[in-house]
Amino acid sequence: MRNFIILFRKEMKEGARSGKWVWLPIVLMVIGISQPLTNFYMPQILEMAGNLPEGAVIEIPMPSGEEVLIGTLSQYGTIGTLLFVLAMMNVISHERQTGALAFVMMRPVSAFQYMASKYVAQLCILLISLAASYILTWYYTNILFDHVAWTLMLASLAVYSLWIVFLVAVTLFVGTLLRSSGGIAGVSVVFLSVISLLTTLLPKYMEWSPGNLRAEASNILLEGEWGSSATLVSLSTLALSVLFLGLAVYMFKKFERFGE
Amino acid sequence: MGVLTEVNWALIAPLIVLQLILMVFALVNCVKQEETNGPKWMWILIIIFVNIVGPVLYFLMGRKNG
Repeated sequence: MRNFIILFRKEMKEGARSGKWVWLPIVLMVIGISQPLTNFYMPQILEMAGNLPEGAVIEIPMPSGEEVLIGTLSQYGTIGTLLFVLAMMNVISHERQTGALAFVMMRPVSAFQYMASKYVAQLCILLISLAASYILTWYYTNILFDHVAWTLMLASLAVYSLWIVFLVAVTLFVGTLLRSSGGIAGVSVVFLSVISLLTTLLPKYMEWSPGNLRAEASNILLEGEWGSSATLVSLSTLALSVLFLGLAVYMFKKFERFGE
Repeated sequence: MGVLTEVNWALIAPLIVLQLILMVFALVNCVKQEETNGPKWMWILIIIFVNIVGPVLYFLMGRKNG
């Protein structure tokens, strides 16, 4: 346990030194609050950008607060996922390339402690950034559109956070397989998008898929209740995350034993 | 120009402030850096002129030590 705490602190320091603690929350906040703002100013934006014929009238229905939040979630799903993966791609590969990994593993540190400290530290950064961005967006939505209950907001945030839990596990696992940061990011993004794609193509067979998390979060916002499918998806996502983390520890031990 | 005055700047201001913070933070970080991947002046230009994406690119690829 002491090893874990020391490694965790080291990860946190690393996050602060590389500026991740600053740029990730800020960029997410910008992405988040852009959504209600563009929705709100859509008529003005069209008026300025489009050369509409004289007298053209476009009626854009004002979206409800819930719909704006759903739009934000979909932004997190595309740009957000890409950013998260990019932010984490060199968590392991960087230490491998500089040789810092050998120094760490010379101490009596188990592979599990090492991976767990990375996992928890990265999860902290990503989840805190996501929560900050989402809560700020919710605040904006309440001002510009109608009021969304904070319980709904928190529930959808909690469900959506599971996607991050899964994403970090996948990226760490890929990080133990490949050496180059670019390759790690590429493989992780492709894997995550294939899962999302399959979920939309084969809804019947993919009820358990983590790709459903965004739909479930939107569902909670719209219907205001926790469906039974949400429980299934949440549990399967947690199980898959544990599985990927276990695989990551296993692969890490392997390349550790063979000296890379 | 009527459109510009219609916009409530109090709403947009936080967005601009966030982008400024990001830009300044990236600039300070970049200038303090001993060495960057590629010429430093190029990164400074990218950070200043490419909105949001510039600082992110710098943090992901510009820094020598990850």
